[in-house]
Amino acid sequence: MRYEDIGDRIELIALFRDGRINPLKFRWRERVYRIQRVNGEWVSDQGQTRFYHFSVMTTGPDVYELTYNSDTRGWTLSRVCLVG
Amino acid sequence: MMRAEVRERLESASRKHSRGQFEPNHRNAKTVVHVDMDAFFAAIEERDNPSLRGKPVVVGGPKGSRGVITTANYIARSYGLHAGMSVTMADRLCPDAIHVSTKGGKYTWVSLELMEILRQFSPEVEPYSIDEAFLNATGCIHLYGSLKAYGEAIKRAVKRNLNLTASVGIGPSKVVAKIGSGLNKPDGLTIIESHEVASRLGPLPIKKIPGVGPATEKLLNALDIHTVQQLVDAPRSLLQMKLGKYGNDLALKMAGATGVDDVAIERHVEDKSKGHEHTFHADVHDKTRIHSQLLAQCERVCRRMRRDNYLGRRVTLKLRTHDFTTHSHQRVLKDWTDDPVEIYSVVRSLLDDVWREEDGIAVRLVGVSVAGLIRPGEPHGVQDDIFQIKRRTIRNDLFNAVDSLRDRFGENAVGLAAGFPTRRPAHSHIHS
Repeated sequence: MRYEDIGDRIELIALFRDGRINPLKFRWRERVYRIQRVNGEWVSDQGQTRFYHFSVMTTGPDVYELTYNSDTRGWTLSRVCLVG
Repeated sequence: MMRAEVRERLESASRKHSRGQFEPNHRNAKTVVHVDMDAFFAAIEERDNPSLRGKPVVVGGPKGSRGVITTANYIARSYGLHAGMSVTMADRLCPDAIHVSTKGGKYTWVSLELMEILRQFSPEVEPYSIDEAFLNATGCIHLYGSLKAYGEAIKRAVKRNLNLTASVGIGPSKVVAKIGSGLNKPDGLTIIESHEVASRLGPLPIKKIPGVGPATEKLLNALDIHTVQQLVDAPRSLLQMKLGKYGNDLALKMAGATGVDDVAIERHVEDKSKGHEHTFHADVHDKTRIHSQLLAQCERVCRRMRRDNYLGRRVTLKLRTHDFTTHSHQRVLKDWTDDPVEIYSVVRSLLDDVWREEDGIAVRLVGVSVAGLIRPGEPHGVQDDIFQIKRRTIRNDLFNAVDSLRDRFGENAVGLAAGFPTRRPAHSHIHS
């Protein structure tokens, strides 16, 4: 198991409902990943910018950390934990 | 007092104080709940990365680093790892442990979510630490039918919303509830009603009682009091004489008494101090670097004091050298302040008292804390220095502007120049 910092901008489809953000699938390096499970979420602030972090899993065992920037309204794949 | 005399008094008291003398639990009986998250930081990391499950996991400084671990999961604990242990020692005891770096902001966020969940169960919630809280459940239990149903509802809500487990203790006082939550970890629920406190907790050693530290334990041991039962049976006059009201109240609470909790559930707990510590990546001999680090720490501490509206007066410098010798020196200022420059000048002077560059002793850790906190405008019995007031007003305007910039652009946006080389230290932790 190893962690890799990525920091790539990604395209992501999410459901914003009842004050919560539910990421559904994202495109990274021309490949689409369907999110099967959200392990956990948390929030951090940098100045007035709020970041929403999501730890998600797709079809495999790897774990992806996705970040939504409330200022730019953009999504980033922050890092990946490669398992196995 | 002779040991025989003490024993005689203990036996006499034992005859006098029967168990179960307090009212049984009823609808309005005082009920306190203690919620304690299980291996909190490690559990969050396991939740967010399921591949960590079933493996020894520690949260803290990276493997091979000079920091300490802040949490070990239960598997890592079976190897003897625990919070506060150095990473080096943890590596030695459990080389296969997976080290995850501390993410303070993440844990704080989850803690805030936890407190929100707990407020659904009682209007009086007292956060006790980042992963613990007391709830005053008096008058709430009948809504759920029983103590068990109430405790289980809390655990379910935590699991459902955070996907984490909590251990819950329910008792007639804070101290009993807190002991209870620790009896059945992880994911436990322990209910100790007032009439069964002495019988359930009696055999426990007194050091298991929260607040009984090594000094109190030694004092009680000298009175031949080693267990909770012996404490309950001890003559109250003896406890009062040796420990004051605290001793008497402690014995009453451990006997299951209700209504003697000296500290009510507080919705907001006042801080006693603000502080910040930093472990250097490698031992430091350079005075300029240490000064720079201390200035940055003073700024962080003062920023948090201003944010939470405190002024402080007692400044403490902690310094640990390469051989783990720890020095802690403090000085009381003439006046209360939240000015980092004022506090830094005292810290520098304290550093000069304990460490000289020319001695060649390397420094491993430095810490700054400010205690004796009061609210601005609170009466404190000391005449304000009227000549300082104007200067302070100008300084306050400056620091308020600096705080506004940091609020908007982040912590590293602006600061005192001399503190910049070491701003945002890697292995720092805050405490309050």
